[in-house]
Amino acid sequence: MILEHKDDLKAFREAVRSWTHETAPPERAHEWHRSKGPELVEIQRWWLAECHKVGLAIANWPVEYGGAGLGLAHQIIIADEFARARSPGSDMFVISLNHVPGTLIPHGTEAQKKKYLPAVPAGELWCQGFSEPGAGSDLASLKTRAVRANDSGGDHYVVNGQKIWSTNSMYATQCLLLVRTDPTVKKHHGISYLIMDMNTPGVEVRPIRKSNGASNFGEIFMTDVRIPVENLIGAENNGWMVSQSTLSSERGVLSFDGAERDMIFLVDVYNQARAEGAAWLDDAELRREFITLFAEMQASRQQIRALLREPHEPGVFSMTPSLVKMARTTLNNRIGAFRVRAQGLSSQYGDHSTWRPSMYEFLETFGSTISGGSNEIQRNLISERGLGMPKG
Amino acid sequence: MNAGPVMTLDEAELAALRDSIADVLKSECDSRKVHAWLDRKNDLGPALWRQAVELGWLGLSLPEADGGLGLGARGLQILSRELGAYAAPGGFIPTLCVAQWLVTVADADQRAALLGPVVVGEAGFAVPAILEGAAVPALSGDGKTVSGKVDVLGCVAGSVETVFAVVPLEAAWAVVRIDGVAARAEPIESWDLTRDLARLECSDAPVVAVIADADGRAGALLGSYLAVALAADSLGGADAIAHKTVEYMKERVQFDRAVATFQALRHRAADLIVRIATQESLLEQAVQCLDNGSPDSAMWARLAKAGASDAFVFVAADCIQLHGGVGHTWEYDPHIYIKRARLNEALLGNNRALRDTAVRLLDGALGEGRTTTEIDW
Repeated sequence: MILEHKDDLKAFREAVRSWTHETAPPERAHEWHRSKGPELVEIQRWWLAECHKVGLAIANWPVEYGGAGLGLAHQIIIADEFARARSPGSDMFVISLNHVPGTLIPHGTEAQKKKYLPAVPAGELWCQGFSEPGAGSDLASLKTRAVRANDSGGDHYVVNGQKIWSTNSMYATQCLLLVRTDPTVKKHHGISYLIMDMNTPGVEVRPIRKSNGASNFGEIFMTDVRIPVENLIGAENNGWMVSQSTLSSERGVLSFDGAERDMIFLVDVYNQARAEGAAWLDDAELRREFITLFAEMQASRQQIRALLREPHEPGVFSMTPSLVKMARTTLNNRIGAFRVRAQGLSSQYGDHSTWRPSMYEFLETFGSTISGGSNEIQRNLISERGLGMPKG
Repeated sequence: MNAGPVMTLDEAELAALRDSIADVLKSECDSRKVHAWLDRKNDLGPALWRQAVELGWLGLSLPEADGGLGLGARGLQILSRELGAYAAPGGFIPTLCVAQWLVTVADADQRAALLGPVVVGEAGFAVPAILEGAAVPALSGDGKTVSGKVDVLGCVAGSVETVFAVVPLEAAWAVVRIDGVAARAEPIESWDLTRDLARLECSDAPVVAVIADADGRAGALLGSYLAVALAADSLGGADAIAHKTVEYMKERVQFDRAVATFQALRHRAADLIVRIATQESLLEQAVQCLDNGSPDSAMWARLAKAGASDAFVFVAADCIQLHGGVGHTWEYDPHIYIKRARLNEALLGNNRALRDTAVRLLDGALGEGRTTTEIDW
């Protein structure tokens, strides 16, 4: 088995590599790269189950919660090998695998941990209900209201409001939800953190159609949704503090996986261009532009490794996550733009049968310069907290 | 081709080394002293060189067998970055890079003759200012003497007794001693008054050493060391002028508030930092490859130089504007950095040419089945 090699990194890597090739042969990569929506959820759920059989689905989780307690070096090897083999990925389960344990392990009750954590590797898909139409960058101004009631159904909250940009909410069965429980105090002090079963009456999800026609996030409308009080994570009105744990679980490892895949993709872009004799290879300016992007992608991988190595003390500010976020997202936007220009007019034909259509992916990149703290918020963090430039 | 095993220090030890170099430069090469040096009102250039020799900086990268500390490209990066941050005058880049190159390409006698004097501060090196891209005309030679002209980046007058110059021959490199007779270096006054350019003219100049280079790999390695040093110098400079500019913006008051409080300007400052950080990570890639003897180090080193010097030019120019009117005076610091940036951009080879080389190297590597992107950790 793979985990028995965990003390020998080289053997561990070999074991992960051969298992990945057997289980998800690269020849089949087009199946998962072409699929979208519910079909992709099912492929990734299958992949998650396969990974779990050999202990790789939640390898970094503590042993007491079903993981193998593996550290960074192992996580990196796993992500690296999965990317290299162009395996199906697990981005649909990103909240389930990272934010759920990142929140429940430090702040959840024993009952919550027992109930929800084992369901993750079994394929439970979680979403996050944080942003609202009126609370984006200014998240703490959220208005979704939860009122405590004690009627025939026992202790519960009645929730009314609306969430937006909730990734994969149309496929999710559980939601990490921020609500306002006290509107009379300062905005950060009246927020609570709930677990919402997406099948509860009164929950309605409407997918949002993006500029490229795809939908991977939705709006969640909540009308008199009853959520048991036992679903409260942390103390009532202490939800803002708990949410900081959720957000810090985005740190590093998530972008690591993405950057590994994006680097391999860029190598594929060049090899594909060579194989097709693409016209842009004859254009010196475009070749230079490509190699510059290629170099910056490698820089980004180095930068993420530096972030992962950086000692992370809670409460101590580091600019590195903001630098990584800005560099990665703007780079992907430039790569998208490059591919569109390099392809020329045919990039504008709405032919979705081609390999990773450039215009589709270019439009897709505008999501990431906003989500996860817009790049303008990152510039505020870098300048105010990193450089000590005071707010006006 | 690589310089063999390099000593590795952990991150804390490297940080301590970096701090110790910065501490010296902070007191010995502060902005006031650099400004006086521009007006040739002090002896900062030779004085700093003497200090560097005493502190062992010239041997940081060289193997212990050659009297050094064995830090390889990592040492070159750390020292060049700090010297760049303080806009230190002197021929550090050509001297350090040629010395490091000789470790790999020279034989034992050549090493003893050329590296020994460098470590003890008696000799320095000059190197062609342009090594790649636009055809570098080879000098003519018969193995014993060389003749011809080449523009070189060299050493500050008065800092060393002897300057050896590396000059290109057909399929080889020659080392000559600048003796003022058969090999004469006519100083070129450059806009960047912290570095020394000269037109080297050789007339039957005796050859001190010949490095054969039939396949071009020796020259490529010299270029890689120069690329890494120039990249580190550029990033040290970019980071220093960006932070100086931020501090200036905190002091400068307009409309009854510090201009640093304007969000438009804060965001611009953040963008400078993001840009520098990306290039620092690219340089990290190049340094790791050079020290690991990776076959792709030549590609990464050239990409690092191109990216870092482009970033330095952008940052230094923006810092002039962010300073307002004083930004383009002789009295303030930004002009020192924009001039170093423009020189770095041109040295070794222009960045378009370096990127063209990198594309060619990538193409070759992919053809051989290497992605060039493997990272150990």
